[in-house]
Amino acid sequence: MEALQKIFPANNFALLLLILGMPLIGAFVNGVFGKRLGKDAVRLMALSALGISFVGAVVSFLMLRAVQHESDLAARFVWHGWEWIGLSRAGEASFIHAGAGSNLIRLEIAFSIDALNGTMALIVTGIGFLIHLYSSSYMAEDPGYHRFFAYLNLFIFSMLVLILGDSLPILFVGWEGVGLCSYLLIGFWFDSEANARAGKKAFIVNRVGDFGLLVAMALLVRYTGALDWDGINAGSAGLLTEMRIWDGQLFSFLPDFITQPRSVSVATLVGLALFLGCAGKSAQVPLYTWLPDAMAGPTPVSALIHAATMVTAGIYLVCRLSGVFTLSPAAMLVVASAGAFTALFAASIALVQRDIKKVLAYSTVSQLGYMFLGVGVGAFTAGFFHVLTHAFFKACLFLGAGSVIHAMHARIHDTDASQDVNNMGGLKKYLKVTHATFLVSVLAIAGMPFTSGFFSKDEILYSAFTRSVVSERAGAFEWPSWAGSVLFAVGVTAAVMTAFYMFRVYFLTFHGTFKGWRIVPGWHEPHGHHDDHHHDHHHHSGPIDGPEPHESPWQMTLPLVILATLAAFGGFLNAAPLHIVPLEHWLEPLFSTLVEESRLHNADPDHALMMPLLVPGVLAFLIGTTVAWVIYIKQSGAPAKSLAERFPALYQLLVDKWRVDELYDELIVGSLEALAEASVWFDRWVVDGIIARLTALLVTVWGHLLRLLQTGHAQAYAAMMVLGMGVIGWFVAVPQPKVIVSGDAATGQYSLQAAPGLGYSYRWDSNGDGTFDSEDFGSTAQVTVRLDEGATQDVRLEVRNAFGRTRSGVYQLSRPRRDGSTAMLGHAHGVAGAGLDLSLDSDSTRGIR
Amino acid sequence: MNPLASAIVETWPYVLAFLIAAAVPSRQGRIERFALGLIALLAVAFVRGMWPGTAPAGETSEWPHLLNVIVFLPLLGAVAVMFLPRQAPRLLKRFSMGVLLADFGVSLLLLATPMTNGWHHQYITEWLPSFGIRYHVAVDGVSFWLILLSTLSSPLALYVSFGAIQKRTKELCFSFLLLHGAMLGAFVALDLFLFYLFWELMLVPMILIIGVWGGTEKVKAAYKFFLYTMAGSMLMLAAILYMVWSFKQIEGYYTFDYLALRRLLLTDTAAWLCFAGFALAFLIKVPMWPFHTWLPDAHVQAPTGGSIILAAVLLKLGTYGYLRFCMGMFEGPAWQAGATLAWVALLGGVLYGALCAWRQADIKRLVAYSSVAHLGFVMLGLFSATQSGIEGAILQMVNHGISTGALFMLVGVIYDRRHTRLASEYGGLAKVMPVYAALFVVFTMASVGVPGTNGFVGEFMVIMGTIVSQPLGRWATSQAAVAAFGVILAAVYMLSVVQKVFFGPLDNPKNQKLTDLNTRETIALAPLLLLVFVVGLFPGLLLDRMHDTVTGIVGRYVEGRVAYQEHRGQLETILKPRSGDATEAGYPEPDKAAPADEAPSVAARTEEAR
Amino acid sequence: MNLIFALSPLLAVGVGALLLMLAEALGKPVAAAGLNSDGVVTDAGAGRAPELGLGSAVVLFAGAVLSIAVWLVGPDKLPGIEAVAPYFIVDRFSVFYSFVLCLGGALSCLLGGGYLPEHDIDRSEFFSLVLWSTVGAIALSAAGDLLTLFVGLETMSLGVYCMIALRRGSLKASEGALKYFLLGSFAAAIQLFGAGLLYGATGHTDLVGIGQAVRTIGEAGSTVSPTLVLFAMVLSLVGLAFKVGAVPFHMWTPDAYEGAPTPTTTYMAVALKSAAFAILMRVLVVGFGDERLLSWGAGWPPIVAGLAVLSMTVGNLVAGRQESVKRMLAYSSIAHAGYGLVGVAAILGSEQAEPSVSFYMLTYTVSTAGAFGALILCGSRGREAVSYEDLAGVGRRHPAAALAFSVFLLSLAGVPPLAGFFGKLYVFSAAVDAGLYWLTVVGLLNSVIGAYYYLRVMVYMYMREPVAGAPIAVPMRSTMVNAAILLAAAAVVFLGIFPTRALELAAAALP
Repeated sequence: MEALQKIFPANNFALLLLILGMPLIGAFVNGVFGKRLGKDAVRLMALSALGISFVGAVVSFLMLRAVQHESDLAARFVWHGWEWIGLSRAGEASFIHAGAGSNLIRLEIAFSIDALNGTMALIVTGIGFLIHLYSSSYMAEDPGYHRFFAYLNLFIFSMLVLILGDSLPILFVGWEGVGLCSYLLIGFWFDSEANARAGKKAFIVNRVGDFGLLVAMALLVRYTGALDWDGINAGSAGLLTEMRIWDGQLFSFLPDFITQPRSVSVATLVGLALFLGCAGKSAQVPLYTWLPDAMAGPTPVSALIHAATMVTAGIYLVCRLSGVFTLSPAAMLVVASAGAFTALFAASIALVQRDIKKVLAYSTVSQLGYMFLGVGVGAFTAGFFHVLTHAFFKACLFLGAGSVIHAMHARIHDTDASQDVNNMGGLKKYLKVTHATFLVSVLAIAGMPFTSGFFSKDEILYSAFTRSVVSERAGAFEWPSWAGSVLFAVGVTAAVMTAFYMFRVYFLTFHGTFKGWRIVPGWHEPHGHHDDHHHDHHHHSGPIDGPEPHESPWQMTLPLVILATLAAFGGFLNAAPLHIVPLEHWLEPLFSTLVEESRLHNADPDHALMMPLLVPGVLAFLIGTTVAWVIYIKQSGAPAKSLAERFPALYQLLVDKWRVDELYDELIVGSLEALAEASVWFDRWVVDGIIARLTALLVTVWGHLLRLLQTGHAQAYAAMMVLGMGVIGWFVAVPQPKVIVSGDAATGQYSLQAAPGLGYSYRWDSNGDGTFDSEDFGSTAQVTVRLDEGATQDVRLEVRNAFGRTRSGVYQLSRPRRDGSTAMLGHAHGVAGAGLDLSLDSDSTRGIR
Repeated sequence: MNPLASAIVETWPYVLAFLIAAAVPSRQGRIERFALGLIALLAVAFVRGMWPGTAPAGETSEWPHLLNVIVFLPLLGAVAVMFLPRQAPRLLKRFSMGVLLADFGVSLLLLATPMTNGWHHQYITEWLPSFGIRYHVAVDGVSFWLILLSTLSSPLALYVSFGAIQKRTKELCFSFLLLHGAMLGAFVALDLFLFYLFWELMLVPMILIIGVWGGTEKVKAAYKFFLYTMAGSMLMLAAILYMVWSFKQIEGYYTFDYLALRRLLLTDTAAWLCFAGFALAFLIKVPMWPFHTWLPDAHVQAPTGGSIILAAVLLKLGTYGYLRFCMGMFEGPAWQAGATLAWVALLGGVLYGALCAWRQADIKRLVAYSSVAHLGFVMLGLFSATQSGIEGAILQMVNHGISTGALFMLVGVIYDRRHTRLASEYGGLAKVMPVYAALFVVFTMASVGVPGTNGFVGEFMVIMGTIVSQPLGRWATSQAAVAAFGVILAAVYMLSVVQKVFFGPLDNPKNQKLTDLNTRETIALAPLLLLVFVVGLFPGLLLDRMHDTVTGIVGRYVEGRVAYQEHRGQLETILKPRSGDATEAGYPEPDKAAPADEAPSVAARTEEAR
Repeated sequence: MNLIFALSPLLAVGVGALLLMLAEALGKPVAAAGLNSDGVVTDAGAGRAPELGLGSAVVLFAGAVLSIAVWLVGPDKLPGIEAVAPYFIVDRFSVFYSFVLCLGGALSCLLGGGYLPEHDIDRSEFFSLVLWSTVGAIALSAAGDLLTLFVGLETMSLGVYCMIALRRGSLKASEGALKYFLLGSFAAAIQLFGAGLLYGATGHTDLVGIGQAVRTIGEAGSTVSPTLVLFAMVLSLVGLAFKVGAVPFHMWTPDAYEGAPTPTTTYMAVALKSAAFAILMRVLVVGFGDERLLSWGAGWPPIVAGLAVLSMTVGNLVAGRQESVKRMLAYSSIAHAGYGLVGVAAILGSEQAEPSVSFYMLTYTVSTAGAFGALILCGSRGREAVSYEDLAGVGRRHPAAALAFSVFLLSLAGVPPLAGFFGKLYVFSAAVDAGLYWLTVVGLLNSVIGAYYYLRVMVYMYMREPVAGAPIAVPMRSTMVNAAILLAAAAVVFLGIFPTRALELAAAALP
């Protein structure tokens, strides 16, 4: 240990490079050379990459533990790379003007590891390794083997960047990186339109979240002047400034409940913007719609990315920036209630889905909702604990489902059919290992006492009831008193549903009789085995013959066993009711540095309510399970059918996932498309029409018109000459009272010089009283007028020319007020040192006059 | 340690890079392997050589003629091409490629100069003394990178063109060399007359490239490009003449020199009109809404090489011009107009451009509109007038050159094979052209601004610069938000086209037999591919060299704005005091400048007539 | 003696003209009269065009060289010139213009030497007419007296009337000539009437005297009537504006230019315009230079500015609509007259006004002569290139001609770094100097419209292929035309890149 600490000092922890680098190398080698290397080499490369970085993660975890044991402070190892970019601070122009120059916010490529992301790293690399192992056999038949592992390694790399990054932008790099990988992996079998579209959908919906993240970063830069974790927490005080979000003056004609300006603390804005990002990545309402579609990807991908790791990034971010979130009770309440609602909402959809992966997908969404509920009420440890346990059992469930689908593919090659629970049943006697592990995980997620799910979920429910976020500032938003109980109730209801639909799937898959095909022992495929899993448009008419569904090879079952074990006993990492809470001790120092205790309110400091509040959780498990058992085993699904028939509309609505996708398509996508069409039309017919075509047309038309004058008749030409001569003569014959004004606003002396002309004589009315200074015309061609500031005066000139004709013109003189500019000047010099906000003066937003 | 070991330690990154890159191509091809290896090696050399802090400290001796060589090498090359036999296309191609590559090589010498605040490689000589016109060229941290961008992208563009274009090679080489020289000249000119000269000189070869080797509507596009630009530049000329004249009114001698003319504090109206004259010329070139409609036509009609040059360099002249001349000479109007123009750049460029791009059936047209969106970001960065905003804008200029140039190259690839650019004609290409698809996706991500690629750094810095910007006033926050929203749309339109073209079933029988990238295309794309990541991961390499200059620009901008405020409402034009900082080196002193005019005054003239 | 030297350009051209006529009269015809393939009557004494063209070109170049010599010596160093003053003023101004005129004439002669035989109008009198007309033009530009003015004017014009009608068989030619003749005499009459009025009002025929007399108006005991002077000013303005070809006195230009053989068109476009501008400026500055006429009020600058705007706008707008390149160039010459008038109007307040106009005339001369030369080169016997269609694909068939043509057109369009650009720049900076900002902007916007139709020619040459079956212009081969083009091109490029010296000369040449 000491030796390690010598090699890898805390402030230059190069071990992170190993953890990060291996997957990257793996991705590069597999991606570029994979095709030539062959499958074995690819497998070796991918697995060794993951294995090594897992070892690295374990080592650094142990080192962290060692340090935290010595001192009860939060341990943190950092590796500083190079400087990335520098950003301007708010008010730059002012302190440049004050001569202070611009000192930038320096962002560097740096990675750090501490209790929180150290644990994450273990999950990512560990479960990542297991799933790589699983895939090495699951994908064995796929032509895109090397591509798959390149993407997978790349994903692990991005995920590690996400969690290990030492600043928000670095996290953002990983954040979009995992999004990109999930885009590539969802569309892995890209030659079906649907998969490609699902990938695109995932990427774009995530981009909506990233928009929130970008805005949050911008606000942080402006108000905290930092983007790295320490800096943000240090400067978080700046987030308490109120910000005007609605400025009524623009719409003064509207009633004043609209026009009155409204403002909100920046912390709330930042919190909401960040949560938008989290909602996108972690599939929360309103941005959850991409996750179910994402099941189009290969099953291991669903297990790794869309269950165990990537989707939990949102919770990680909330924990990481808990210091910022807790500044705003409003934002936290939004997080919590969005989580609770998602938990319930997704669970309701999962009740009726027939596609085994879809059910798991919605259950994932629902479980993520629990996690946000946890962190939302300020129980960060609880929320994070659920991340761990969920990673165990959900990964196990997905891999189990994968193993089932793998078995189904023996005869059914159509994706949807092979994943439809109605085609399964009775598999428990064929797939023993899969069945056992699947059962364990189902129990865990359903919350059977003493399984991992039980402990994590119930701690969340407990915290939801007891905990809340408060602000020390007077007049700040406060949680309603009933918030806790409502959140708790919703959570419990969702728990009942969870238990029900998980067991429904379990029963339909493993119990009853097999409905996939008629099983003929020793049956052999007449025409050679299909190796394209994904799409194959056989329409199976009537029951077909087939072999016994076969258990998967060890590369697939071993991960199942390991994960099932973890799912069963992982709960004791933080079994609060039994007072076995190593995880809490592990994370406590970190969160206590991030969040001030005063912001977190606990209604039940001495855990008196803990035991009583366990009861609803256990009841939820029992009710859900029993109901499922009664419906699907006892009466083999009859009640379900009758219910569906009794409330067809509701049933259909649930099957159609509340038609939210359709709603979005109509509302958002539709309007956006309309807007796009409109702008294309506008571009062609208005912009181009006016600027290019209209101008050209005018020139052409005028050219034609003038050309008509060229008749070819000499007399017409002569006439034209005479006409021209006439016009010139007329111009000469008419007196031209023109004046050149010169003067100086400073002195107010203005002099008017009349244009001279042969035989001209002038008379002036220089004081603007309407009468000429002298009635008779003279030769004075210039007068001088004195004006005081802001004064305006008319000067009249009458000219008589050689032909005795007279004409007069009036000229208005006005001396501008200079106070506008002088005030600005004083302002500029006065406050410059004190950080003058050059943007505040009157004209800076006025634009071109 | 012994020399051998040290040599190994010194050179292993280069060797490694070379070997890896050389191993990449799967099919046999010595030239390809070697070229790729070389490119990778150069990239490593670039990263190591440009690493911040490794720049030679203090003033190194600068060769005054470096810029002259860079500018006039291609111009003389163009003249030489005129005298080469058109019957020998190979000779012509080799010659002009040689010239362009030599120019690139020479321009690399610039990297040796630490771009401290002030002008570098300045070269001044009297040209037309009676007009006060001087040949005055110099480079600073802004023009520096644009020069390198041009010298890099021109050879690539020409190299690509040789693949697609077989007819009238002589004119092609001539136009490219002339265009190249003119663009470089415009980037380094510090005499407004010289700038205007190069600015106009670019037109002719560009319309030739569009009009001679273009598509079906080429003539219309050529006219449109020519007339739009001409209209803008004429008003700019008027503004220049007015400024020169009013400078003479004060100082008594003519000069077209930027350093002198930027001291002018014109009266309100005059300042606004002159600003408008310049701004119009540049905004048309950028192009910014509503003057952007020439761009899609020009891009769609131009041959691949032409589009690359147009996107990579020509448009940058607009943004560069705005930064150098509008913001450098009319701080007050620019400051005030910026707040309004920023909205135009956002709504008209970032959002509107993206929406239009989304609905284009023609891939090239789509990329063209995406340029409108990207340059909206660049202009936003300039308007924000913060250190990071401007640095981000400059970076984004380079990025746009890299990614959009590459995208045009890639579109050209399928166009050469299928002679259509309609996305609907394609689908599932990833099956037959995997390498091509992979590269397209990478450059798409760069253009969408996925972190880790160059596109992200630029957009990120611009957004972060916008929110803290003071010129943008109280709208800064909302403008930053809108800019961030543009990031979503970028993903929408780029991914839609990627999905249409590369994914889904390979149903069009015409696409079954398409061949993947050939050697020429691979070699042309490789450097851009490397740059995407080099710039994305080590933007410091670029930012470090432009930092001092931008600091100076922002400083002068703020000060000049205050001076303008103080001068507002006055009826007479005055001169700002000489700042005397490094950027005034080469100021045209009266004694150096020629006397205003040999002609006697009107009075004297009438005397002698008697 | 030094008087002879001072007048040497004029004399050289005149004597050359005489000798040429003798040579032509005494020499015996090479080819007999008859009908050529196109049924056009060919002339006795045909076939000498090449050597006669060369000869007259040499004479005119000699005139140009002599002008340079006189300049170098310096007219003020030649006391003898008082003898002919004020009728014939030898000053840097007139010397400069005699150089420009000789240059323009020489180029036209070279073109004629190649063009006439190619197109079966091998009429050797063309050359002596050019020479005589040039004599008139030089006299006009040097005229310091209303009488010499008129004599020079007519000498110049009469020659041109004949040169237009040179192609006997062609109706267009005769029509153009007739129109020009009628309107020309009309204008001359107006001019003459103005001269009469002036004499009546001031009792002077020499411009300087007139100028002084006008200055006395308003002083006690002045007998000069301002009304008469104003009328006279208007009439002389109209008369000269006609020769300049300014709108609305331009109507004759397109017909005459189109009808005339291209070398004649060239000569009219360059020499006539330059001479007209020279005398226009001399009359206005010397005769009507009084500050009450040199005023923004009822003086001549606003009138000239108005003519300038009209000429530029109408010229450019209509030129854009032409289908015949020759006619397009005719209208463009109107537009260029407009640009020149901008400079004249700038005399109001700028010291570089006249120099800018003079320099503009120089650049315009070389560019236009070159453009017409290239147009000539692009066509051959029976296949004269007149319309845009004829030029389709020339860029590929005859790159050299196309390149030359492009250079001249770009120079006319004012694209740097070519002569035309500097001409425009100088004129417009003079306008800005005089405070005529709006005029500058109008002019610059006009040059955008102008750019369109110049570009159009290049578009046809490089970007269009001839329609199948359409008669394509086969470029002709002629050393003399090539020589003329090379000369002009060299001048265009040189004046574009190193205009300094020429600028200084122009700046020193003041009326």
